[in-house]
Amino acid sequence: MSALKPDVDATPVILAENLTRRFGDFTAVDHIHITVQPGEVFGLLGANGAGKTTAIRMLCGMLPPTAGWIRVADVDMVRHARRARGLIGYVAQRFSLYGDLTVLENLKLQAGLYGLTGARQRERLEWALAHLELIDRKDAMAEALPLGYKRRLALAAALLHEPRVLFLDEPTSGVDPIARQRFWELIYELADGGIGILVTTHYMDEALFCDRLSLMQAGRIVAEGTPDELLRRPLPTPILELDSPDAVAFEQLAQTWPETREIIPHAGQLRIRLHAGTEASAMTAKIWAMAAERGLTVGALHPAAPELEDVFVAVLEENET
Amino acid sequence: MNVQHVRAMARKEWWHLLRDPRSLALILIMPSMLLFLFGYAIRLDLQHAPIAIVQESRDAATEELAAHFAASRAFQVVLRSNDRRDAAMALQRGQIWAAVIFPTDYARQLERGAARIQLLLDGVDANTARLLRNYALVLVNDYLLSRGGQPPIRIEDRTWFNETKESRLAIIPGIIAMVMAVIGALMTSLTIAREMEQGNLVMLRTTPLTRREFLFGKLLPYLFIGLLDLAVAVAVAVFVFEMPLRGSLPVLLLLSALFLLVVMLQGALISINAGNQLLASQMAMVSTFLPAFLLSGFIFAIENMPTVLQYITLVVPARYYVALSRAIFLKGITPLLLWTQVAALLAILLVLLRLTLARSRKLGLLP
Repeated sequence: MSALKPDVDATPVILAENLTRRFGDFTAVDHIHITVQPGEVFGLLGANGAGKTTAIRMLCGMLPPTAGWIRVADVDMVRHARRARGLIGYVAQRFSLYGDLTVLENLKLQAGLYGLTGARQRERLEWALAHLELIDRKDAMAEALPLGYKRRLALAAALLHEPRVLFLDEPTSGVDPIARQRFWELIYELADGGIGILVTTHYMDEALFCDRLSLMQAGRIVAEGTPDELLRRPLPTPILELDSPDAVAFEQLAQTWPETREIIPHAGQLRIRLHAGTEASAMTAKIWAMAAERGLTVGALHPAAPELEDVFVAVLEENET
Repeated sequence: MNVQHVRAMARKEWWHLLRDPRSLALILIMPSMLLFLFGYAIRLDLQHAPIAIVQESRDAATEELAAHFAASRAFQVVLRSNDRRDAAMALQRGQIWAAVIFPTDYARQLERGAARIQLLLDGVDANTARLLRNYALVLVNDYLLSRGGQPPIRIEDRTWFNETKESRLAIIPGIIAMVMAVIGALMTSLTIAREMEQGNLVMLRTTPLTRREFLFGKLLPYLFIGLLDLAVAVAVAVFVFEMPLRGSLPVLLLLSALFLLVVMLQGALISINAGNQLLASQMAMVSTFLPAFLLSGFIFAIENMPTVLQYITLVVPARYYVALSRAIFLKGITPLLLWTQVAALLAILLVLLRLTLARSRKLGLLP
């Protein structure tokens, strides 16, 4: 990690308490708490309609909360909106810079909007062009750029004024794997420089890249913690991994077991998710016995280490019932 | 308001304009184009109107008056005949607008002082028919005077401010007003709707930019272009149409800037309300072109309108601007004498400004 000054470390770059937003009778965001520390990559996860977008819009100051408050690096987002906005950078999901302006013109506009002048403006423009590898396209029209470049341009525009916190709304959707990899490297670099980063995503593998995660469902945060903490949570619905040349036969067989909740074929293996309360070791013994009885070969059979998706699916199901 | 933010927006808007040289050229050429088009198309005086002369008897007396018609600049004799049926046919076909018919006994009756000639008019265009009739009457009167008839009263007429009574001079300030109204409102109606349509506002909403800064920054370049348009239009009026500019040019430009601001705010208000470029441009055309054309008094005198329409013209900004620019062009008076008109324009400006700022809440930018 970076060598941060302790006094900077002390103030969270985002501190939201009891954040609530209602649209008429509908509560889109329901008393959520979010804290992002400097240098931290914070992931906000959830299905479409879970309240992610409404939450991020409130955190960026685009939407006033119905209740609760937000402080950005100790500045009240609602009461001192203007000052708070100078401390945040936001990259929208859709490209929202100007297509008929060049890369440099778009950046100059941002510099002007954030009040950068003279030497500082030149210095920041140079930094952005070099750091986000836009220099060879600086006179290209933004709309003619490949998607990866567009994302980097949007990121450059959001970083020009050296914000304390960066909001990334689905930053890698539709980007190819190499560009995604590069993008995450950039995000880590920024975090190492002390910026707090809040990112929404629905890619589970990307969620693993975050320092801390919150999972939203129906406007509430239903699980939070570091990826490790979340993965260590005991799963209420155990999963067995079965490796067998007779996978097809096992799949048919497993469907008849009362303990089976879901069967997920997975790279020649079967992942069998059991109903809550089922004892995994007892079930393993039962399967061995059944295999012997019917002459089926079992290559390997053991309780699976949960993946993040399994954890989230379990949490979401738990809340639905 | 932060000057830097306004400047950043204005500069960006300017880049948009430069990026689209065809639209920019159109904006700069359109006023002169419209001015030429309307300057030549809208004519309220007659020149070379095609007529027929029917002499049922050809003699010295009919020849003499017919020669007067032939010599007039207003008429052009395209048909001469001794049968009125020829004239009727030509009138039906639209080859002539009027026919002057001398009956067989014209010369004899003229001796007795009771001569009659018939004037047949094509009334399909009532306005032209009325003009033809008046011209013919004047021509016959002049002819009588030249023959030594002495009428009891003579009117010595002089038309002030427009000695040659050219309708062009009265119309051109009106055309300039119309062109400015259309250009000003059209340009600005597109600009805000475009940001709403293309989703750029999403990005602007997270910046420290306020609504006012956004609005003023966006309108500034268009004000500049509008004034450039105006300068071109005034130059065309003065140098091509030989319009006299008797008042002060700076005052004319100042009042024009005021009028431009009014129509630009109108465009901005439409743009915010419409939210998309197509609807906004159509609304801007309808709400500026038609009132500026019909209700500004530049062709149809407001005083002759039905009372209800007269009241409606009170909220048409072009009405005040037409009155002011006519006064400056033709009368050369200072607008202090017309301060009510200036005050009315200012009042409309303030109301539009309040409305636009109130509606700009919809943009979702900082207050």
